[in-house]
Amino acid sequence: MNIEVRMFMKYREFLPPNSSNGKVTVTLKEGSTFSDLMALFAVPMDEPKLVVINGISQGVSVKVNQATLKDGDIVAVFPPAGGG
Amino acid sequence: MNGWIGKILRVNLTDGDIGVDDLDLDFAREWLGGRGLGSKILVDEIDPQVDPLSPENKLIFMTGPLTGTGCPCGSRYMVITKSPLSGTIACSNSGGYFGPELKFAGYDGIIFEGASDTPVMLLINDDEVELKPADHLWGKSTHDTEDMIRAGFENPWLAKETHIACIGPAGEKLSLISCVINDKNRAAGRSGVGAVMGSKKLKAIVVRGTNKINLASKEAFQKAVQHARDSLRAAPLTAEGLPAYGTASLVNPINQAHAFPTRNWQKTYFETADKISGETMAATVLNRKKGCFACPIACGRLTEVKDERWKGFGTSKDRGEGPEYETVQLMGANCGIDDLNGILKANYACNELGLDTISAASTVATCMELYEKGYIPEKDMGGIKANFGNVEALILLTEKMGRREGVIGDAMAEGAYRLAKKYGHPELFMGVKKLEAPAYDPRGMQSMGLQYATSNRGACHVRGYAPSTEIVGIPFKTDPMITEGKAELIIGLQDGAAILDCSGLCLFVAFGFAPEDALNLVNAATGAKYTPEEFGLVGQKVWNLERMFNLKAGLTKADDTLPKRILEEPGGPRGDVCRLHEMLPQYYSLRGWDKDGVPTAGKLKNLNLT
Repeated sequence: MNIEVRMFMKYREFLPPNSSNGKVTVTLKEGSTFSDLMALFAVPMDEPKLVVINGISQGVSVKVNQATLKDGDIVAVFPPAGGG
Repeated sequence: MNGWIGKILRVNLTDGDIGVDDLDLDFAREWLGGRGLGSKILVDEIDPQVDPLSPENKLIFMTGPLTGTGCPCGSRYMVITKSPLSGTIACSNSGGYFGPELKFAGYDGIIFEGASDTPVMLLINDDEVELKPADHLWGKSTHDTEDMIRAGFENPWLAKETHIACIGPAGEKLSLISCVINDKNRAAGRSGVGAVMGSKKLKAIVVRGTNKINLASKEAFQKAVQHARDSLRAAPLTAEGLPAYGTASLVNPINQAHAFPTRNWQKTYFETADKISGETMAATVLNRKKGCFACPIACGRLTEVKDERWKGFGTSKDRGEGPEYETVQLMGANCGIDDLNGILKANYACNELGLDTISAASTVATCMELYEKGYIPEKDMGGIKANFGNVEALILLTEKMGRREGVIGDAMAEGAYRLAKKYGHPELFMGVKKLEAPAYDPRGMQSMGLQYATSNRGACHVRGYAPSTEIVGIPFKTDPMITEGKAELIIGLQDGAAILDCSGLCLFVAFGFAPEDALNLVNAATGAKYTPEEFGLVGQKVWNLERMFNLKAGLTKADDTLPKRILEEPGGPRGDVCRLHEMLPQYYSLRGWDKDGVPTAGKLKNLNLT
């Protein structure tokens, strides 16, 4: 399945050189999780991230690591952000 | 007294009388301070039907018991009055260094009554308090005002120790979206409080203080401070995100969540949002971060225009502070603009002229939609082509608004609601109770709609920060697409924010403090021995006090609504509208109000508000 990954702030550094505008589309096997996705880029998994999947924020936590992805998902990854 | 000082200045601008009221300890304990204490005094002393720009309205500056004590993020003061923009109670919060200095001078707050015939400023140097003429300052920007006041001191060291709150030309000209500016670039922004100050011909308040603030228990306070600091250091938002990228670190997350108002809320996603993000700011225009008094977070931005195209354009300086998330979003995507340097210029103009950036930016976006649809005759525009995406228009319209210049500047100075109404299309106003909405679209998070509709001052984000749970997931995660449980959520957030607003703490402590940190700090500073229940109740009391004022001022449940666009035009990640009708009845019920949103007699008695 194809997943579009959008990385922001420090996570942009983990993207391969062929990505542009902080985005890249990757192929994963069916039933892969967010953890599997991040493993492609060697992103450390012990720190909480703000993850938005298809426009729905999953919040800042490590629980999202187990979220299962499906074909066509758009996954945006941030360090924790907030403000007002 | 401890924490609190126990003295409130009372200044009558009509006859020039200056006196000092004693702050009763029981009264202080009941209302905590800041928003609660100041609002209670206002409610007791003015007629809710008063004309906000008349001498009968009062203007109250009020700090909290923690302001100036040195606890982390204890920097805040409030400007409390009746709003000329919305007709509701107004309570605008600001940080910087002015609030703490007022406490060092020996006052919890200042109550201004009446109005002066000619421009004046109030000078406070510990217990020396006097009104002086300010004719020479009238017409000057907030920055020039500060510089000129300091230059007028014989002793340059004394001058350096002052902190100043003032209005710019916008407040002087009674713009309904003008603000009070302190320390040159911090704003008590919303609700047109600048116009109330202008209507009293009060140009500036200059404070210098040399006293200490007493603490009930120094050891307990130090322990509580250490714990609070540790909490903030352990939380990624307050330890890393906000210091590195400021509040504009929210740009990309809110955009990816499709809650990003775009072109006057016609869309909720902006393709080039990254160009106006906190990250881009840090990489291109940021000089360094800046904090308020005693703040370890330092989310403030010291920035500078780097693009030659905008250097020297218009009348604002080429460097200053900000922009914050709301500003960059509403001047950016909501105006169809992704030019960060251009946005900086318009942001600086707001600070120098004394305009609320949220209201100003929203009024520009409203103007753009009205203009593109042909509702504003060219002759009114003063030669400006106000199409979405036109950066020059953003900057020039902001400057015209701040000076009431030209037909369009004069109309825009009244805010987006009155602008839209003037040109025959009030449905293009994006706000509630005539207060322009901030930069979060309820179609991307349902509870934000409930928050906007019910907030006592109109559409506001700080009074109940729904993105915290709906997007960020602090202190827990909610599902932004559902309406179930949202009434309870918003009530909790609203009451919690109210308590912080009373204490003198910055709202950002909510991203890091442990639940007991604020209570422990207040108890250690004041010795007031609040139980968690008593402390929690303060928020509810304040909320209901404000609601009762608004009802007496003439507002009804009809005002607890949202713009048609948000209720009817799909947006957000799944093409939703905001389903306010699914949340509002339960909100009234859980608040202990009747079906018309009126607090019941039982509820008021319960809260000791009769």
